[in-house]
Parts: sequence; structure tokens; C-alpha cells
Amino acid sequence: MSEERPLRPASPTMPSDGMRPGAPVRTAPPPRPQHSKPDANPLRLLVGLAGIASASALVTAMLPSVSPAEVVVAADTTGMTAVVPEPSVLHVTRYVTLQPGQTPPPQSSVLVKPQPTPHVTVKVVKKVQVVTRQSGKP
Amino acid sequence: MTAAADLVNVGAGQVTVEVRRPMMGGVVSVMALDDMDAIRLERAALVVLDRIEAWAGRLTRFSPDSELMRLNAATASPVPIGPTLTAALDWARMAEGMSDGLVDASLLDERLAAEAGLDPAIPVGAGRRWSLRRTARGAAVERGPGVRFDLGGVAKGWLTDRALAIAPGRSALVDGDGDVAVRVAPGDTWAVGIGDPREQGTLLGALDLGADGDVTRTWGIATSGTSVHRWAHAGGDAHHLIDPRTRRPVDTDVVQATVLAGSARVAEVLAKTAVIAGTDRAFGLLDRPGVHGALLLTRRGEIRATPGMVRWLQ
Repeated sequence: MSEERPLRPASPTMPSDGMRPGAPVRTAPPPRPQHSKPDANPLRLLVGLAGIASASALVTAMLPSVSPAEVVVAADTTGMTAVVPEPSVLHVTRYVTLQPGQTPPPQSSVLVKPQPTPHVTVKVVKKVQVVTRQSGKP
Repeated sequence: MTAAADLVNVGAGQVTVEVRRPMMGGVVSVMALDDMDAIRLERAALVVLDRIEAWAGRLTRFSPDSELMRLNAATASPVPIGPTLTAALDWARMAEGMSDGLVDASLLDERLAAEAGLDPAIPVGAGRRWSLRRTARGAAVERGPGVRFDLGGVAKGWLTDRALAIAPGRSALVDGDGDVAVRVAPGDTWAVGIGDPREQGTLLGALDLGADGDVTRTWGIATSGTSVHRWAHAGGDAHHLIDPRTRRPVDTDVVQATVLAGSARVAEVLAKTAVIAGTDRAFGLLDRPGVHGALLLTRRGEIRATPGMVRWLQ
């Protein structure tokens, strides 16, 4: 039967683990708190979308560029030719000339064309003594 | 000699006489107004008709015995002519200048070709020079080959003015088949209508021609156009107004032109000028001293008048 020997008291200079004296005592790290891992799926989705956007930008840049049409404006007095981009035109019908018999669209205002001023308004009812006319008999 | 006469009482002691006679391809009339005896006034007016007939007989192209046609038939150059033909040709030369060359009295062959529906024998651009040379016994005509004269309306306006100068009465009117010369004493008025060629018997307007204050005044009013003297040919219609630039009947947008001036001869020449020139150029040519107004009827039915004529029409 073995006698249970008392353990040597732990010396402050002698680690009980048999390490040499004077060496710092390594203490056991405190237990770390258990953290839950983040969900990687949203990040993957974000990275994926960014990749698609970058690829789209690269493809767009590689395509032949469609430059706006150029309009050559008549040369000015200095002989210079100005080049300006063609403006976008929005065609809006504001006036319609009504033909005889046509009616204006609902809720439209109608402008009446003024009648031309006659050069001469002559109404001859008076008795004359002689008539100037083309010579000869009609 | 035949003549028709009208006597019209127009007021206390006043009488108007009118005598008419067919001549110059139409009818010529003389009217006179005065206080004198009506019979004397009528006789004096008939003398005027006789003189017109005599002058017209020298200047017509419809008689081979006329002085004009003897000139046209002559082959030599120069050809001596009498005083009446000299004065008429003198005026024809002035008319040519006044019209910028559009009124040309040396286009007889072109006129005859138009009447026959033929092309003119003389090509466009050929020279047509003629001149009057004064001689000790009058004048002589020098001309290039082929130049023959048709005085036509130019002579008619000139005759009308000449007749007015010898017409009796304090006020008088000579109607040379549409070309009218008027003399108006203070207090008198002649009403002259402008015939509408689209409807016989209607008027485009009427002018009340009066004196110039206390001074007797003369007027001339004449009408020219393309709607009366017309002929239908296989190639189309033709008329009597020859354009000297083409030597064919003029293609114009003026159907009729009436001009009011100080004399019938000026009015006649400028009315014809307006028709040949067309509306674009006519009013520029008519804007000159001595022209008191003009009235144009266009092919589109427009009536266009100078401001001066509008004043007279109202």
C-alpha cells in the first residue's frame, strides 16, 4: 500500500509544474466568450452585385461609343464653322389651319384670320357722260 | 358723212351738244358745253369731227391710200412725209422713250402676224432703226429695211388731244373711241366712267373731272387692254398688244389699265405701257409727273389703283 505523500508546498519560486525558477508564470488564459459568427450571405450578395456592376461598366466602356449627331451651322461672317450638338426637339402642335367645313378640336381657341384690306372699293351707280374703255367693239 | 347729235339742256342758258360719228374702227364723239346758241355749238362740234376724220384718214393702216400706208409701201429711204404724219411720228418717238421702249410704233408686221396666228417674220433682236429728219419742206423718214409703222392707239390719243384744242364751248370733251380728252371750265364737271370689260355696260369706277379752282383745266383719260381685240387661232388666242421684246402678243397679268393724266396721248401711251409691263413693273413706270392716277384690272380679278386714282374715284 502506497502512502500518499503530501505534496510539496508550492514554492513561490518554484513552479509546481517543474519549470525552472524565475521564469514567469504562465497563467491559463481566461475563457473567451463564445461569439456567434456573422451570416456571410448578405456580404456575398453585395460582392456579387458589385462584380456584376463592374463587369457591366467594363462592357459598356468597350462598346463603340454613340456620339451625338453633329449639326454644322452656317458659317458666320468670320468664316468660322460652329459645330453644335443637335438639340432634342419636342414637336407640339399648337396651331391648325382649318379648311372650309372643318371644326376646331374641343376646348381649343379659334383665331379668325383677318380679311385682307381691298385696294379699292368701288360701287358705281352714278350716271356718267362718257366711258373710257378698250377701243374697238367687244 | 354721217353724224348723230344730242342737245341736252343742263341749266339756265347752258346747253350741251354731243355729235358722234363712226370712224377709226369705232365711234368718235365730241361734246361741248356753253351758253352760246345750240345750233352754232353743234356746227362747231361737227367741224371738229370732220377734222378728226381727215387726220385719221392720213394715219390709218386700213386704207392703202393713207399717207402712213404710202410710207410703209415705199422702198426708198428717206421718204418725205406731210406735217400730220410728221407730228404723229414725232409723238410716237416720244412715246417709245416714255414707255421704256414698250410702246413701239414700228411693229406693223408683228401685229399682222398676230392677227393671222403666225410667227413674226422678223427675228427677235433684229435692228429696227428709224428716225425723222427735218427738211426744208417738212420732214422725211429714214428707216432700216423692213420697218413698217402701225400708229394705232398712239395716233388715236394724239388725235383726241388735237381735236380738243379746236373743240367749241367753254367746256368740251372728245371721246376718241375710248381715249378721252377733257377741258373743264370753273363750275363745270365731266363725269367719266371706266368700263368693266368683264360685263358690258358696267363700270369699274367713275371720275368727276373738274377745273383747277378758277382756272380751266384739261384732262386725259385712256384705257388699254387685252380682252377686246382678240383672235382665236389653232395655236391659241392672240391679242393686239405686241411686246417689242418678243415681237409677239404680250403675256401679261394686266387685263386692262386706265390712266388719268393731263392729256389723252400721255394717258393712252402709259395705259398701254402698264398692260405690257405687267403689275410688278407698271406702278413704277406710272409713278411720274403728269400722271394723276391709274386703275388696273388683273387676270385674277383684282382691281389695283394708285392712291391718286382712289382719290378721284371717291
